[in-house]
Amino acid sequence: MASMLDDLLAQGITDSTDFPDDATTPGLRSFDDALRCGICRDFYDAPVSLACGHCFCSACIRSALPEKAQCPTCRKEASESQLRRVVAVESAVHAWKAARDLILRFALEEERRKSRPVLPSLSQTRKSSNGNHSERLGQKRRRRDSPLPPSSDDEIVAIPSSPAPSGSSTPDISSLPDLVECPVCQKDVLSSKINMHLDSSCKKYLFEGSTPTGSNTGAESSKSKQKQQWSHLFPGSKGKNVPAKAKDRDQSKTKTKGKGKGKSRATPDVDVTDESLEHLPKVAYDIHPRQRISEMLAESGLPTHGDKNALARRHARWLVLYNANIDRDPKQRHTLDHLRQELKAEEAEGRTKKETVDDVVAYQKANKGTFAKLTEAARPKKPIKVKKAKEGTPVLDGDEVRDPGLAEGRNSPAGHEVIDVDDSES
Amino acid sequence: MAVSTRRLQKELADIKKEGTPVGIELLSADDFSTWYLTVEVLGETVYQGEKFALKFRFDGQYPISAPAVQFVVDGSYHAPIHPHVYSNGHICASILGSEWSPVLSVVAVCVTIQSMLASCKVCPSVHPICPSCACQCLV
Ligand SMILES: [Zn+2]
Ligand SMILES: [Zn+2]
Ligand SMILES: [Zn+2]
Repeated sequence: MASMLDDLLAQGITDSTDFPDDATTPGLRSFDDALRCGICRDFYDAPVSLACGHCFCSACIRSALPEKAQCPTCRKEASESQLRRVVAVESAVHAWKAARDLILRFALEEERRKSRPVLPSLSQTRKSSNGNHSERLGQKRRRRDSPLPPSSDDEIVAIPSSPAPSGSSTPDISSLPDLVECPVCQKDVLSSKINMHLDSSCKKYLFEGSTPTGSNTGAESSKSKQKQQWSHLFPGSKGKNVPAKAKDRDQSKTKTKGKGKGKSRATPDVDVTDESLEHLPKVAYDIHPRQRISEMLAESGLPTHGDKNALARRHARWLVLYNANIDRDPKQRHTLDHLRQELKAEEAEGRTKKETVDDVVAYQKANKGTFAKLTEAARPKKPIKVKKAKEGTPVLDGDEVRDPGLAEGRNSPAGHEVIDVDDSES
Repeated sequence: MAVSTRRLQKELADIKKEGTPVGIELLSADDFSTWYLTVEVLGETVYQGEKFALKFRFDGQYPISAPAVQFVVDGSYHAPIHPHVYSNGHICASILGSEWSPVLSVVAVCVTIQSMLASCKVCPSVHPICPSCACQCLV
């Protein structure tokens, strides 16, 4: 599935672990992490908080709440009516994004200054985040390579934010030399030369053919290409903020699918920067006929093809995108056309990713005999004690006394992770 | 790029940078719809010396929706004998169903399953099959 991974090349993916650990550069990794949403792990986009105080991207939590009306982090009851913008965090994210490259460079310099050989250890303390992670970059790279079979796409992930070769959408990964992206200057460097490159203050040992510009250039140029391709789908589009999600391979699909059906009706576009814009109310799709939902979509300039379920899904998703947009700083809001494009790109990708029906049930049936025998063999000599679900908590499927790992899921290591997130956000 | 792809890419980058917890290894992650990881239970348990493989499948809704997770049952791997695990690899775990939270991750699921196995100190043959499995499979 090289094509999917190709997409990643075009994306500037950053992560808190780009920073040295807290022992080396106290607070920096935690700070970067504190500005990230626990659901998407990106920097907060239109951050909103729930009554419990936990913060998420507006779109992320608006997607999660309909599935389960509780805070994903602490599981306290939650609803959309609790959502409040967290303007201070939004500003902090804005400023941090601007400062990050520079701070990261300082941090990595500091790490090199402090660094001394440390045995690479397979992070027993990974989740406690103060792991033993003060190795030099070269060692890091080597270690990440180790747990994977050679067939995996190591090199690709080793250069997570490498600029995409702007002309082609499908570079031949296998023919690429062992390149890594310098975390400081973002240029491609042979992995064997990365330390020397860093020591030369990013002046030497550059890989030839490396794009001499910053990490965003690739994305920019592919954006402008998308701009052209989307422009005739969306006549009203000024091509501003074309979503990075719209990948070339989806575009071709969208283009054919969208012909005739998906063209946006030129609705008089609202001025999205208007501070007084309000959230759109939720719709109970069940009580409306298909025709009514179709009208609602048309009113928002959205395509109206598909059965009733598809229409309802599309409109519900539109409400998420629209309402999340309202939660952005008015100056940072996206145009409605941008939101429509985003929705369209999502749908296109969703179609390509449809999973086949789960085979588990069939397998179970086919193996019923075996299973029955095993069940029989496993029947207890002691009586089974079935624990009543704790009040207020949903019955754990299989919540059974002798399995504290599951029955007390919140105290399990997975539970720890939840607490970790807690800590980092408070 | 779908939200799920972006999220999984971060998880993958994280795994490659920081490694995985002891006893858990990434077997393959060739795309963003199916990953395989192996789980070993550490210490003195009934699974000593055994290595199990978990298959994760993600739809475009991940992490809003839980991944579909089951033990691999093929020539090389088998499912652990455990009250919450079917012989076909199906896992009955609340974290994969009603108790899923979108702030969880692939590694967090592995760790939970690892500890679910680790807590099984008794010989599996005297273990009852989880009574709720029969009527309520959530994966
Ligand atoms: Zn988010
Ligand atoms: Zn909370
Ligand atoms: Zn069960």
